[in-house]
Amino acid sequence: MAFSSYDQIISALGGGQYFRADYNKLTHPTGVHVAGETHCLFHSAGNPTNGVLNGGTNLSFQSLCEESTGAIRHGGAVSPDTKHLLNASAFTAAATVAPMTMVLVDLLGYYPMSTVTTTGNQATIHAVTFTADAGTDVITHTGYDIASFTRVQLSTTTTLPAGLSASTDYWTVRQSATTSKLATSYANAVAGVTIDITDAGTGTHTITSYIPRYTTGAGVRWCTVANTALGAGTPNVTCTYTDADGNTGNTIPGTAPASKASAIIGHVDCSGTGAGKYPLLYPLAAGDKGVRSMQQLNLSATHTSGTLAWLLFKPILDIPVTTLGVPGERDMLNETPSLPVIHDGACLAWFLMAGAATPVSSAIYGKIEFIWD
Amino acid sequence: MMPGLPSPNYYASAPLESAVLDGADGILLDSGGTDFQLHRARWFASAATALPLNAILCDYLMYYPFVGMDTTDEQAMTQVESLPRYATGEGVQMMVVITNPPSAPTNLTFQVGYTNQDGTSGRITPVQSFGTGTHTGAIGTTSRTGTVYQRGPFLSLQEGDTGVRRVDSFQMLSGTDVGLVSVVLVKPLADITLLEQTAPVEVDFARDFMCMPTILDGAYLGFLVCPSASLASTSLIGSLTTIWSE
Repeated sequence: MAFSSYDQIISALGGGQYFRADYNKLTHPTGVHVAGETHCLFHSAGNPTNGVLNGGTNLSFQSLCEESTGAIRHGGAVSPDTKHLLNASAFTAAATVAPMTMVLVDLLGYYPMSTVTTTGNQATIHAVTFTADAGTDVITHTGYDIASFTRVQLSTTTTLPAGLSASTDYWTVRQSATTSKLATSYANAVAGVTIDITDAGTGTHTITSYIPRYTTGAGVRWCTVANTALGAGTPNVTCTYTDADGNTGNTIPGTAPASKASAIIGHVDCSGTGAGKYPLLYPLAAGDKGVRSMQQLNLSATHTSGTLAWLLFKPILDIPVTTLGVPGERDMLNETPSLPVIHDGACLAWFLMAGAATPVSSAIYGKIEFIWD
Repeated sequence: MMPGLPSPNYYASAPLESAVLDGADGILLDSGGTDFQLHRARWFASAATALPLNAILCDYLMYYPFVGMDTTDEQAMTQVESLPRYATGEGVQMMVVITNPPSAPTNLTFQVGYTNQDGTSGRITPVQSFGTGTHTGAIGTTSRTGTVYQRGPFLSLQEGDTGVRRVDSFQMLSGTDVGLVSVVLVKPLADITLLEQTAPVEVDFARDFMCMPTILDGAYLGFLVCPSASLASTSLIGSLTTIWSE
């Protein structure tokens, strides 16, 4: 339920419907963040610990959530209540880190790309066929390592296994690189409460993954991040995607983002200064409001080595940190009235837009406060 | 551990045994036995050297004193007390406070074993590093501005954990040093920044940030501070205003 009065907020605070997350992230341990570049602190050491964006099958959609390693915890699922971000701060006492801008996002998922030495279109993976075992309630989906807590839907040429329905959201509980169990909700999946499958069905069954939140794609943006250090090469980065209205075949207009040679881990590799550089939000086709999924990922030339993560994310707020030793703070009720909704399972992470050359292992810490009703 | 009002706490009790702090010895707020909300905070500094300064108001819950930095043996803690507030440990953070200064702690590593907010024991922090702090009262994982391995005050927890119910062990890893630390469990409540000497900072938690942190009855309140330069001979003077309902 949305908040409609200060009294309601105070009541929620007094009722314990509140969570404070203290975070502390370090910049890259060996690579300086160049002024004008953006870096994803999801990879960074600290609290929460560093996450990775190269799991699963190459080019397959890998969903992210609050349970993902590296996510900033925000108090768990609260449904049927609605959680809001109340305020946030970011602080650094490390020399020359300020000025900078911190951007908080909900990471929805990514496509890992180990094939950075391949040019041209590379098709992504969202769907594979599967078989079901009624004795173990396990489905086998060879060719697509599906992360836990991925939102999926099922289809079949004949009859789905008993206990499962078509065009219905399910949430996976990964058992292995080729097997999963299914749950009826995100909360059930986290709790390990899975569906009892009572027969194998008939025909050919297909499992298809989708972004877990902001399900139409409205407001969802994309970028690429070096998940391991990239080698030489400065390819243009483009994609073909499905937009928020469900239209397929969309491509980006104008100057394509240009990747940086030898980008360090966590670098939004097309960020920086100069032609073809985008600070965080890579371009969309004219009139599009967001990305629902990506179908083709394209590098115009090769990197000699490394891995890329093609990220889908929803920006939530940004905090300028102007001065060393002075925290940047955002009050999302009075200062910038918005009280952004934090969906159950949101994978919260920070990006750092460097305004100055940021020394290695510089600490940025602060807190984020949440409230729900 | 700084002198003044309230009187300093020196984390002096039986080594490696959990001990709680009496709320009456901290920043004293008397609600007559009920929980209350922090309404306003106001304070200023007597000197400009250390400013700007960022502070975190915490409820100091429990500590484990006289943990040695001079051995790589695992030091097991004795659980004499349990958390007096926030009993599950949800949101409770750990920090390492220097009580007897080491000589050259920079980049020495350690890990802390603990029980998390769900009561699961055997949890262990990622490898932590000491910073450059060598004086009494410094939080050991932090460093001077401009040096590497500058970190925040709270220890990273094992992936998935959101709080600490008790500390189970401490172990130096990459080397040793003279010096003693206390592992302290705190609940962060509010953040306040002192910008300059010429004007006090005033925060109205009802209107600014709309959070009004709840202070539980019996809380031992104290501040962590991160100054921009030396705090030597600087007085930090202020007040906290709270409200509660009958």
